[in-house]
Amino acid sequence: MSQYYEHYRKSSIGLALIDSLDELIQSGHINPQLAMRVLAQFDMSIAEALSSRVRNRANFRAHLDNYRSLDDVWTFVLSNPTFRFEHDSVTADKVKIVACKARVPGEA
Amino acid sequence: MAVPTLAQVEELIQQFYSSQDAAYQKSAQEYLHNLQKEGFAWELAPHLLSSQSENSQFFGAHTYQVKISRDWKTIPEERLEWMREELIRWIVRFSSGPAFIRTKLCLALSAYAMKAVPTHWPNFIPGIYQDLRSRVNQTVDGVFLTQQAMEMALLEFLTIVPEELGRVEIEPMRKARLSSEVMNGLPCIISFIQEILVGSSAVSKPKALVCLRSWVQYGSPFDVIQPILGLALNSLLDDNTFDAAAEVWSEIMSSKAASRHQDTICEGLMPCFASEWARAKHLESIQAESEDISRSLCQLLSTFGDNFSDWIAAKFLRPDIQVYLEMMMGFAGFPGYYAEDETTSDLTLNFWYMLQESLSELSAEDLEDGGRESVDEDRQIILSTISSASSITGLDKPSLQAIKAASIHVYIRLTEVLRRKLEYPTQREWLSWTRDIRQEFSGHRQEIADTLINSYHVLHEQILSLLIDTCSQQLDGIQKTSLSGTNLAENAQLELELVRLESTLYCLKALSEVVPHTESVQMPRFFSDQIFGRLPTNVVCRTRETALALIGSYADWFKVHPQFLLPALNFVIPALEVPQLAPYAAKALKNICDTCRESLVEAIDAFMTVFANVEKAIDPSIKGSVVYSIATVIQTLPVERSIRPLVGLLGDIFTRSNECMETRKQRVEGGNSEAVRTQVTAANGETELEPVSALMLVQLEFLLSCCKGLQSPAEDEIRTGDERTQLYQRISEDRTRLLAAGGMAVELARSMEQVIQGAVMLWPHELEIIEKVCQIVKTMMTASQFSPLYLPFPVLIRVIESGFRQHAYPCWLDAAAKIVSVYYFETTGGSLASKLGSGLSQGAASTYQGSCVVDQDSPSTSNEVARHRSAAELENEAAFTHLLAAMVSRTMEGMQSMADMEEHPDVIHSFFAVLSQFVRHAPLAFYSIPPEQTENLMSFAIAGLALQERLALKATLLFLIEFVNQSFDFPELKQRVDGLMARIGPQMMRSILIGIGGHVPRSMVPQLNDSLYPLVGKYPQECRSWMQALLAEPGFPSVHADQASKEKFIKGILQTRSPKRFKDEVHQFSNKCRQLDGSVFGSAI
Repeated sequence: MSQYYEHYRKSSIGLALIDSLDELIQSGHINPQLAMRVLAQFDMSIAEALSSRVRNRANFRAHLDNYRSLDDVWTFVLSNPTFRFEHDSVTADKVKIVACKARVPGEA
Repeated sequence: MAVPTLAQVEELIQQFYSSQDAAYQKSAQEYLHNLQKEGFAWELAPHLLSSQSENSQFFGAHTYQVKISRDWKTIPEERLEWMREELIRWIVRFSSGPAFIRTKLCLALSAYAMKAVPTHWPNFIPGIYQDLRSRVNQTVDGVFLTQQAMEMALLEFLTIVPEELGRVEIEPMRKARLSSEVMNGLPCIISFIQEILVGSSAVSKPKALVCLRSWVQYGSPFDVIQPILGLALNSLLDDNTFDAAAEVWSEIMSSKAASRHQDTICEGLMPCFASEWARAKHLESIQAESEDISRSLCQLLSTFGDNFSDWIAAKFLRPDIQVYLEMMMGFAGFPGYYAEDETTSDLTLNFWYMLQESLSELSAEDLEDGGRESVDEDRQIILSTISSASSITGLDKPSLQAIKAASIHVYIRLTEVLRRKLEYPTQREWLSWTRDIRQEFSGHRQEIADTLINSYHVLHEQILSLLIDTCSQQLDGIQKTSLSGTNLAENAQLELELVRLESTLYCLKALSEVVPHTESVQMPRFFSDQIFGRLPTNVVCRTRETALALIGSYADWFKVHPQFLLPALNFVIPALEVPQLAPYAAKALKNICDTCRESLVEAIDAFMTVFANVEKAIDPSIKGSVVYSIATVIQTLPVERSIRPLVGLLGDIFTRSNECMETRKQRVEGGNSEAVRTQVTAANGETELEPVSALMLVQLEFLLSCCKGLQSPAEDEIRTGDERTQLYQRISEDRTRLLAAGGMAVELARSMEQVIQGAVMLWPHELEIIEKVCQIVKTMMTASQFSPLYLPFPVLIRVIESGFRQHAYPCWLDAAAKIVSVYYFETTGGSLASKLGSGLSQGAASTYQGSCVVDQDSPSTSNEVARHRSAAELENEAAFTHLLAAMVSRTMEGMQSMADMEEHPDVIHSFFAVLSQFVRHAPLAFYSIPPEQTENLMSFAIAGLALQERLALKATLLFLIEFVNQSFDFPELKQRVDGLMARIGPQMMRSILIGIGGHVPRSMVPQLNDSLYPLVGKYPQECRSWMQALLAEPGFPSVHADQASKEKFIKGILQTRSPKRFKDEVHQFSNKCRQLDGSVFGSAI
């Protein structure tokens, strides 16, 4: 199976999936190997879904505290950002943006 | 399981495939799966394969695959070779079909290979190649093996092997040996494919290309496949093999090796793309509007463009590249509406972006001689890197300039092509589309907008000029066609012209993201009377919607060019009265007012007059947005000058609110239970607010919008403690001075207070209204600015406390959390060190007798002496303590059991969030509530660790982390906290360990770790004894944790102060308790 980014595992939906898989393992319904296959499928599906199904846009303004780039991974630390969506806006104290190299989902 | 007869199994398989009964199918499937687990299934497989039924044959092949994968070890070693021979024999028997059974048998043989290679099946690729070839033109079990059948069977197997290799999970050493075997056999495979591609079998050729694709995808070295690339190229020029060959090339172009062999691939493919055959195929697909032909060709061309845009940019002037670009342009403008008629055009969009990037890297060379002086040092380094990269292309300056000129020509054409693709269909056609198609079309427009942004980076001002000229021509057309009437239902030509204009306006709107705010040539032309002044205002159509959106998107540009604001607002404000346009107009107004508030401030009186004229006609759903917009402009006025506009803005809202409250009051005093109800059942059966309550809610929404609009953009600025205190004092003085003068300011403040307190008093149990009140109250909490509309801190804290006492809604707790973070510091005398002095346990003036704590907001400097706090500050301190005590007692009243906690996760979440805020910002208040209350709430928090509800559990954990992380410097307080910890510590440790041991979801283990780490750091001896006692209990915290792992855990976490190692130990122990130790899944997060 091709390699996909694993960072969406730490999103709310990824964590919820892992917790659910844990429960299924504890109750003996699946084994960890199958759970791993499901998680690998999640890595693939979330990448494809985010790439092809998300149409919403947001703008944001913030103070750029610092940024760095290592191995094609850019990290931006923003303070006091305001994200403006279509009908709403959200603020936060601090936000870290991790940007990885854009590539076709599934490309190794 | 009893051994069934063959007939019984066949009957069951037959019924399984033919039954319509899902429950029966499920039980049959379960039975058949269990059957495959039995030892006798080895014997069953060949019998089923010999059956007359295809379903039975398939199940027989599947049984072989399952048995080999799962029960490999049950095959005696001396039978392994026989088994392979058996499988190959079956493949030969099914070599001519049915294809799905042949594929299943090849999967079984592939599973065999994964287990047997290399020990029991050395040189397996040449081996099977020779084996099958040797059987050609022979009869095996009554089946005559033809050359073509052999080829199909072998290709099937060789296609499956690399796919399975990518999927198989075996230990790395064995995988490496397997890969090595495969690599040794690769030349044999390539030569076999070559043999077929030069042969004459039309059936085998596409299959051979599919096999080749599979090996390219597997990662075969480029030099191994290179000998047959020529044949793969030729296959592109044949209708029979085109699709399969296109997939091979897409795979090659996307492979890692492609960039190293760029020239070989590009120089090979380009003649194919520019060939007569490809051009004819392209033309045919566009003329026939046939997606069957176009998609694979477009996919191939786009993949090429996506991967080799640098190469294309460097060879931009070559005729074959021009042909290629022409074809891409054709596909970008593929006939028809996207989603409804075609889905080809979007395949090209990424290429135009990539090409623009490549072209911009080339043109960086232009700066070599000239513009370098103007760029800073960092940028020079970046530019020199880019220049050195592009100098590899060996292009001289005239060539670069020629490329630039040619690229401008291409992107101008692209802009026009994309603009056409943006055009909506007529309204009648649009309404006939399904919702999904409409959404897809709109999404595609968004992607085109992004592509246009790339065009801007090539064309700059020229794209604006082009679009504005187009606008002008389209407006001429509209003017002419309007003469026949402006009713769109009757004037089809006018509708067409408006649709065209809309697409152009949409392009300009898309470019707002990149057009510099200082652009002063083209955009002034657009916003002049010649263009903007002629935009249609007498028809209600999508064109006006887009024009309004365009105005809003250029708000930042208007800020630099305020002279164009008035005509823009004259276009926007009348649209507020038209229901279809109002949402767009309101959004545009909001953007403009928010961004250009300083420029509009002088026109506030005119603004208020216009608002008064349209206020009655504005739909309530957008009035909030309009109120917000005007409030943002009022915000920039000095407080004294803001009173009159605020009265104008809110007069009607206060009047209506008072009417609602009066009606409600009468009903409440009347005591009729029916009249007091705030909810009614609507015609559709759902409950909704009764009219008076609903009207009150709307008025509160308007007030909220106004309060939000009045917030200063500087609200989020970070300030020092001294600045915060000074600012608060100044605001308090301003307030006192202004209210002392009386007049409208007092009226305004009184009206606001009446509405807030009235709403809380009259609708204390109506969640929607209370939530709105809480939002208003939270919006008013600001330490950086003053408005007479904002209620002062003492009123706000009273409102929160009284509201929460009446009904314990979580929104009150959220408001309390904010009031602590915003006001505690300023209203109670600044930092704790200034209140109590540092490190001193005597003489500290506090509601907590003689105690001192270290201030977490601003750590004290040594030997600071406590200052004398004013009576007001002490009163405020007491108010916070009172608020906390009220919140704790009221919440605990409603939470008598775990079931209550599970039932109200929102309350638990907000409750612990407010406690965290008190611990962080107001520790004095936190430790000033009665000690038994503190202990109760700590026990409550520990009980909360057993919650399964994620929202509540997380808040509980975050509170515990906040609590454990406090550090105290003052003996008396320290003594009290230590005493508290001594009593609740063992229980807290038990809950944390149970959580780590599996009771809490694994995603929460990091939070458990964050509470355990400081706990162990602050109380190492106590933690050691608690942990030893707890972990000595058998089966604690999990039956899967053995004594050795428990000891390792205790030792590991007590001996390290490295957060990372500590975390690793917790993680490992948690996995051990959950039986996930050593599994890849255990380390998945």
